[in-house]
Amino acid sequence: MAELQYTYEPQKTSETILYVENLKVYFPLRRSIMDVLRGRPRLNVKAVDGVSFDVRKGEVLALAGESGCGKTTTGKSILRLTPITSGVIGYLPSKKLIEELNSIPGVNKLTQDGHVDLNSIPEKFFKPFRAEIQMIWQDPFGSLNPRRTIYEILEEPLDIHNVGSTREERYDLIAKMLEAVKLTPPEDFMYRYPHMLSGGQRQRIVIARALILNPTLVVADEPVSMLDVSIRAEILQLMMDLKKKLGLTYVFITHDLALARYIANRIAIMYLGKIVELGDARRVIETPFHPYTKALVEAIPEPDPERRHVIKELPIKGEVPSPVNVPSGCRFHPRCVVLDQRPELAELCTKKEPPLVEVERGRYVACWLYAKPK
Amino acid sequence: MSVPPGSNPKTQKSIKIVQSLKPIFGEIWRMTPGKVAIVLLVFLIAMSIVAVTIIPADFITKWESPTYWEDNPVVAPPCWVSSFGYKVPATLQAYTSEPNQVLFEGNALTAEQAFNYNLDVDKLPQDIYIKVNAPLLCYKNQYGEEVRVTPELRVVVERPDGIVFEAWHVTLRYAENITCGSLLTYKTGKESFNLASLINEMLTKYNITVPEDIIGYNKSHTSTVSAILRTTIRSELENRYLTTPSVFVTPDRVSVTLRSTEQNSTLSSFKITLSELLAALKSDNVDTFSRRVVLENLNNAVNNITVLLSSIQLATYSDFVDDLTNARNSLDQAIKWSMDPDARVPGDLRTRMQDAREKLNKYIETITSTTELIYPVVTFKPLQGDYKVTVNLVYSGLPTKPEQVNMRIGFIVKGGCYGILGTAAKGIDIASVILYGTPIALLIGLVAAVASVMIGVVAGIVSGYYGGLVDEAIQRTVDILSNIPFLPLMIIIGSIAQKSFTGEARSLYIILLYLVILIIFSWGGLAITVRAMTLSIKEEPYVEAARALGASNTRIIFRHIFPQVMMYATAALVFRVPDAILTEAGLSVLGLRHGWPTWGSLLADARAEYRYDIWWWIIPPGLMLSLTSLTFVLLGLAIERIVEPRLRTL
Repeated sequence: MAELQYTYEPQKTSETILYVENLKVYFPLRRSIMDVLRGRPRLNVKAVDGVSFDVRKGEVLALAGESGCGKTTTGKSILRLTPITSGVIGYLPSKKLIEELNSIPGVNKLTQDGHVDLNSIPEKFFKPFRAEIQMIWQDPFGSLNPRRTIYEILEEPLDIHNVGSTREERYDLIAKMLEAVKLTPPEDFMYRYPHMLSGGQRQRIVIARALILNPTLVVADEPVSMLDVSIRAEILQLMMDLKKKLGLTYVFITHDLALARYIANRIAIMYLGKIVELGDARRVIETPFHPYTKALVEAIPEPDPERRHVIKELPIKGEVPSPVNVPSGCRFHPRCVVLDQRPELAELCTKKEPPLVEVERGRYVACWLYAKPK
Repeated sequence: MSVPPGSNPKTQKSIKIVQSLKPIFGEIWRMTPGKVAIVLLVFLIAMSIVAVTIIPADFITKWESPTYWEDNPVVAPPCWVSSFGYKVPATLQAYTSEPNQVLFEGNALTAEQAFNYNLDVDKLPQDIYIKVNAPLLCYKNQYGEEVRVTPELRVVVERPDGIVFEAWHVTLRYAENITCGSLLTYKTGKESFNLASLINEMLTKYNITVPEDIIGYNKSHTSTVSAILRTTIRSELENRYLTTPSVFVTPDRVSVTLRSTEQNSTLSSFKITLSELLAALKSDNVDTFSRRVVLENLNNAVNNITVLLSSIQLATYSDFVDDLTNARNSLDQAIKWSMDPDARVPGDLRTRMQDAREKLNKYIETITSTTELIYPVVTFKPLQGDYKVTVNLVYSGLPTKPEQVNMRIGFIVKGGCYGILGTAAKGIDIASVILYGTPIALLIGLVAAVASVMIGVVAGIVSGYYGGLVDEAIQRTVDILSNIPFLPLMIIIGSIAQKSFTGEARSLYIILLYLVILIIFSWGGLAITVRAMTLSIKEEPYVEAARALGASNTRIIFRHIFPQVMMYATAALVFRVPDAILTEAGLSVLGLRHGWPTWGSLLADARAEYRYDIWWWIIPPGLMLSLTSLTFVLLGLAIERIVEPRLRTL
């Protein structure tokens, strides 16, 4: 049995389709003229502040956490929709794409393991990656242009990537995709406008648009959070079916731990721009180690009518601090109830940032309860 | 496998555009302002089409040249005013290429054409003339020399009062370099008008003479006085009635008086001068024969004048002329005898006598040739009734009858009214300019609006989408432009352009310059709005989704942002159309002319001629300007109401 890692290192094998290493995304705040004159430093919103994880082929990795913890920003930076401050996003391209990249002079950024640092690709050569890495959007109402028909919406990715040379070919592709997302018969839907569809149907269109280019990695940003509860299961089932059918890998961004346990193989819990716990989804949720994870798990409502009047007391205090002024040491310490019980850790927790240590095989926690300072 | 309907993408697209326009049109039509706007717009477009089809293209350059409107009366109201009780003489512009009668008789080819004109109001037409186009005919004589024959033009007018006179009689001239058979053009004018003949006819017809009691005993003066009367009538007809309209006048009141008392001071001064001379000569007591003769004659002269002065109220024309002539003759004798050395008349007195004689002689000349003494007053009035004008073109001395002679004879009476909208200065037909101004106005308005909206949309989208320095640069440019006072700058540039542009395309350049400046100053507001819209659209999730799909900036701009901005831009475009039209009119009225027949030019002409009182000159262009503005404002209102709810959903 191999030794447990003291600090988490993302796995970079040929099975790892994507790894993120020490990703930082800072959004600079605008300074007023007075601030500039007084020489105050430029302040940043630290949306993502040193995140590392890996995604293996065919798995579902859930990125979970409360709103504002940086999970969506992480997802968007994988798709290069947000400029990152530092860090590496390594992606394992398909063989076809590797060949394509080799034919472009000057672009040969493959690492030893065959991964490509997405941020090292110049913008003009990034387009083929867009076909392989896709995103399913949270808002089925806003993410479809209200002035274009379903046909036009689904044709756009084909048009951008020059898939299907004739009109008939594209028509067939679109019809097949609509069938795949269970919008049948497809002719009924093609010439409708988004406002003529229900929320669930629209989300199917969003999924269809993401999958029509045959991606390998799909970032799903809370794909069901804006849908009626009644159709969430349907959409999730559809997504899982398509994953099996098309061999997809999902990065599933959610704030719903119950959903994460249902759908994900592994889960990464994020708090204020950092991963606090990473591991097998079932085990993390059933036996959480990190005080924050514990609080999140406690917050899951219990489907027990007997206890409907009981207001649970959660093992957490205070509010989420501003990501501009991240607390020193462990960024969770102002809200940590364990710290109150164990004041001897105060020195460590308030001064030093805890590393993400491996506490069990494949289970990582960033908390001084589990790590020894080196 | 199913095949999509309408597999030709192009036809499908065009069908889609038409289908998407149809509901918009329907929605505009449903609203009252939209309905009015569409009706007005159809009217304006119909006017433009009519203008372009019926008015020749060179109108745009020739409309201000006076020869273009030669046959029109000047500043004449529209003809329909007569149905409202405002009496105006009719305008007649009759042309014929087939004269009533063409005869070849005795080596002469005669073409005759009669025209009729009825003057039914108590006002005179502005002018009357004949225009002839006739060929220069040539033949070879027996020596083989080429002989050129030009026609003789005779115009005989028969007036309702029975006077028949030859108004014109001229032989058409030709330049040496003109070839045989080419057309000679002639327009009768006042220079060749036979006014003397008309005056003679009138004097005879109406028996206008100077009364005998004014002439007095000496009948030999009758012809002198008649000549003065004739001259008076002539100058009256030439100056007040501008020669040719005299065709239509008849004497109204004739009176001849003697201005006797006015002559008192002149005669007295003569008497004093001569008396002084007489006294001076008497004082030196020289008593020779010659001196006595001088004194006697001088005395006679003084006596003649004294007698005339004493009976001046009763004196006839003969008394004046004869007494003064006697006085002058006596003075002549006196001067003659004073030359004799025996008379011993001092040199200075002799000179004074000669001076006096000169003055007296001049005075006699004055009263016998001018209205100084004899004072005829003749007034005229329009003669109503039917006029018959017979035009004769005669080629004489032709050996054989020519094959075919193409001629064109025109008879023009510039009455007191013209067409449906009347005329401006130089005879400019206001209806033509109003009509022709419509397509120009629409063109100017649309070009300026389209260009400014296009710039505004592009600048706004670029500014909002790319942000950063580009945004900053565009927005600051807009700030600067919106703070420069437009009108003063326009006036300065306009007046520079007036002087610096020359040549044929001058008008076009000036108009283009106006448009360019207008466009430069008008895109700013729209750019700000479009920028704001772009900022909000670009943050829409579907734009981010498109970016995740790999859509380029161009695709996002043209597929996602532009279609939404365009709806708003259309409304803005429609609102902007009147701006350019009104600016053009305003600048024209301010004197910054360009030379195209626009509504503003008509107003500018009226202002330049200080004829604000001519309603038919002011109201039509003003009305058209308001109507056009109203059309586009109403259309804009209708479109805005359609665009507005969608704007909120952006």
